[in-house]
Amino acid sequence: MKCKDLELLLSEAQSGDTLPREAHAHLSSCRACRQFQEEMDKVWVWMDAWKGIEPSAGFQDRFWAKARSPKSLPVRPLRDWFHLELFFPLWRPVSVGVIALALLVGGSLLLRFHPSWQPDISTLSLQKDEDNLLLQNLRESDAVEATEELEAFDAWILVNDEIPSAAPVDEPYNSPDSPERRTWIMEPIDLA
Amino acid sequence: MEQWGEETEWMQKLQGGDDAAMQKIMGKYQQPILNYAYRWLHNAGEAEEITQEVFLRVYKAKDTFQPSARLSPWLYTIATNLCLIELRRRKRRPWFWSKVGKQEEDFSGPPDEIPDPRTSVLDRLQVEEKERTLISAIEGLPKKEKTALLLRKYQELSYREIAEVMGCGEGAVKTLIHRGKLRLRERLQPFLQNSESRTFSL
Repeated sequence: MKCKDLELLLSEAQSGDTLPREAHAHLSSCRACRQFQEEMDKVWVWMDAWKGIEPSAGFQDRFWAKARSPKSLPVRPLRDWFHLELFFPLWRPVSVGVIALALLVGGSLLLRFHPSWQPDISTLSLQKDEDNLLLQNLRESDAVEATEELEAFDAWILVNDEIPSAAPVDEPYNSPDSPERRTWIMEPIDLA
Repeated sequence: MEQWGEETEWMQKLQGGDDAAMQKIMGKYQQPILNYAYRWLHNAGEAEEITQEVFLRVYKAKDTFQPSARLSPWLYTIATNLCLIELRRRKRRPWFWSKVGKQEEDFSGPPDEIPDPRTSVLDRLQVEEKERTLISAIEGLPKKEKTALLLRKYQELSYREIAEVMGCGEGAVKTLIHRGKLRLRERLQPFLQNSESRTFSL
């Protein structure tokens, strides 16, 4: 028998198991194992030094008071659910990483597929630089030309079935003082 | 076997609505469970609260008890879980527990028993020092080893019962106990040399 094998047997024997005959034979011939046994015995006896306590008076009365009360078992607080192994210090960084990744992926999928999260295409086109530039040009440098074209177009809609070559100047609608015209010019141009 | 039969009978009576059976169960287990909780928590008040809750849970869940099962592993499983939850809760609020612990130490109530005049003050201090050294060594053990060791040494549970409490095999329990003892031996080594004649450093 090897010394290592005997260690476990000695430990079990201390807890009540019987020591096999071979172990006794080894012990009688091995000084190191005898010393080990002595030390382990001392540790086992030393453990008796840890004294217990007595229950306080009225233990059972308090138990029955709690047992017969309608709220005898407290509801498990929410924070206790965070005692799960997932949130133990060892796993905490991994858990946080996994949760962050899940939120990121979930958020991306929501933006991608949910209809209410889809941005308006016209809004997107207006946000482009080229369109902004065009809009600016129309409002500022080409304002007059744009105005004439749109006036003519508007007049065509109101009066004729075809686009006129030039805007009729005597129409009240095209008068410079016409309130409709002023309003129409001041309104932003809708590219769509 | 006789003991289990008696406990099963108590549980069957309790399931039938006989509260006297619960008193018998408490009479047998209140002190062992209290001491087990105390060895985890080092606080008599908390240990008593945990013990009460263990019995409350058994009382409320009495109908789920199977006659083929044994009572003590069930009780110690609940007690172990509650103690570990309490320890985790404390870990999150160390500042609170350091204050409570200090208050408990500062409290100098009446002594539990009158000291024997034949034992000197020095002897008593040595005994206290020995206990403190042991507790600090046991506290340093990994939780599984500590559980197995406490259940075997102080609660005198069989390997099979400990295996049921811990949800592992008997072989694993034996190994855990052995490892725990080896660690204790290692930590108490300075005090083990000539311990019979040794005076503990005070």
